[in-house]
Amino acid sequence: MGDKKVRVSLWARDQRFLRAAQQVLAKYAIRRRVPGPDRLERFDVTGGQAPYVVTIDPDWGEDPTCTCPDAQQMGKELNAGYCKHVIGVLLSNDALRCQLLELFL
Amino acid sequence: MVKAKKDATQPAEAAIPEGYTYEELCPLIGTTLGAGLSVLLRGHPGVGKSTLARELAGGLGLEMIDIRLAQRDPADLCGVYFPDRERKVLDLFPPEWVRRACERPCFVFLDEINAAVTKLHQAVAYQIVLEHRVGQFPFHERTVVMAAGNLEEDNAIVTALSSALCNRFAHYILRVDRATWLEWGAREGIDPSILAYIGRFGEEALFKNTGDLAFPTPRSWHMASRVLARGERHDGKRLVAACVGVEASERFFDYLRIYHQVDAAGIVRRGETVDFRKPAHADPSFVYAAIFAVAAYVVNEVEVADVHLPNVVKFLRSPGLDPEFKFLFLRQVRRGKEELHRRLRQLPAYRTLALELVDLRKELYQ
Repeated sequence: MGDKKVRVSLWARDQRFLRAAQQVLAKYAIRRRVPGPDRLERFDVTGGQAPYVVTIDPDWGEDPTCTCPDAQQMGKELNAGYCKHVIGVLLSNDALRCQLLELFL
Repeated sequence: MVKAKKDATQPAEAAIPEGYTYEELCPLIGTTLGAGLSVLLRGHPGVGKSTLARELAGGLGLEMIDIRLAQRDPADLCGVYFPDRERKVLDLFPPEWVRRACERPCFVFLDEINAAVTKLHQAVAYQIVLEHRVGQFPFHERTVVMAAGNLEEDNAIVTALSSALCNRFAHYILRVDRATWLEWGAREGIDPSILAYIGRFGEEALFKNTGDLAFPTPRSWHMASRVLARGERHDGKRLVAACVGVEASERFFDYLRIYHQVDAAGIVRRGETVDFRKPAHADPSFVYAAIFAVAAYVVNEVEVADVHLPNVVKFLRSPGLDPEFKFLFLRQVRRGKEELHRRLRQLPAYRTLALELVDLRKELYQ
């Protein structure tokens, strides 16, 4: 069973998802920026330790990214790069919420 | 005194099961090793203990030093003494692996630690586990130590470890888990008919110590997959029986008759539909066969043309197909061919389906 990524169980993924989503929706402010020429959607997420920027491709061609350290490090390994800020932004947008599917696969 | 009210946003403390799945163990053992403790992982033969060690070593970015204690002479482990005639002392010449573990961070894996090892083996293991050194050679401060062994109930030759050695380990048990093995199997290219069979019949089919020489384990199913990959043969059942045992081979080949009823090419290339509400197709054996056969077809057998991609979504929209099977199918595709999943994401129909699947988990965040 050789794969370099450290992975987690579906149960653990769901638990982490729940925790992250609850925290972000309860505490964080999410502000959508005016779209630029590259069609990517950018969101400022504030209310945590520092402000972070979440970038999402509305066509789902690329995976969402976030400037927070968690997305750069462990989030990439454990949650396909879906840190709690990305999860919060996806949850709060009906048109983008489908992208959360990656979290459950 | 007023008791503090429990914060509802905090997750419940996880219960402690008898054994953990492969994926549950990765973060648990990672944390334990990170705290500087040595780990003893036990589990049935062939369930993936050594593979888990390799994966952990890779995840931690450490070179793995794999030491099978029962196959080593104790002198191989701790080195040999040579006389220094001038100083009139004996110098210990350590084995090469000790040098590596001392010079740079490594993942020292003591496999088969309880497999018929001598007291002398245990004494060396004790030093490695407790003191992270061999003789006067201390390991690098970031070198970690993990050991593995079989469970006493498995008819494997097991030597009881001293309580002093046991007490120096953090202990985990790896249990057989269907879901994890199916995901791993998709990445490793395990024969899809085996995946469908294990998906259908679960842990009982994946591992059963029958007492025979050949019996089903994750490792022996992997072996069976390799012989099946040699192509269809009249003696296929015998080849598989040599790996997983006669009983499991008979059951598997019975199941193959159902598996071969699935017309994956018709579903993907011609957009043929399957009505899973019909009695013949509602049988879980057929549903698992359809999921794994179609997933294998798009992952392994063909380069799916753009024009055929909507047929994949159409298949997932088949009447009577339970959402959990849709997740199972998509996990197989994503593990087996990520690029194909990315192409699916471009389809509006797929995004609609994805939203429906995500919203099935609404209770997690509402």
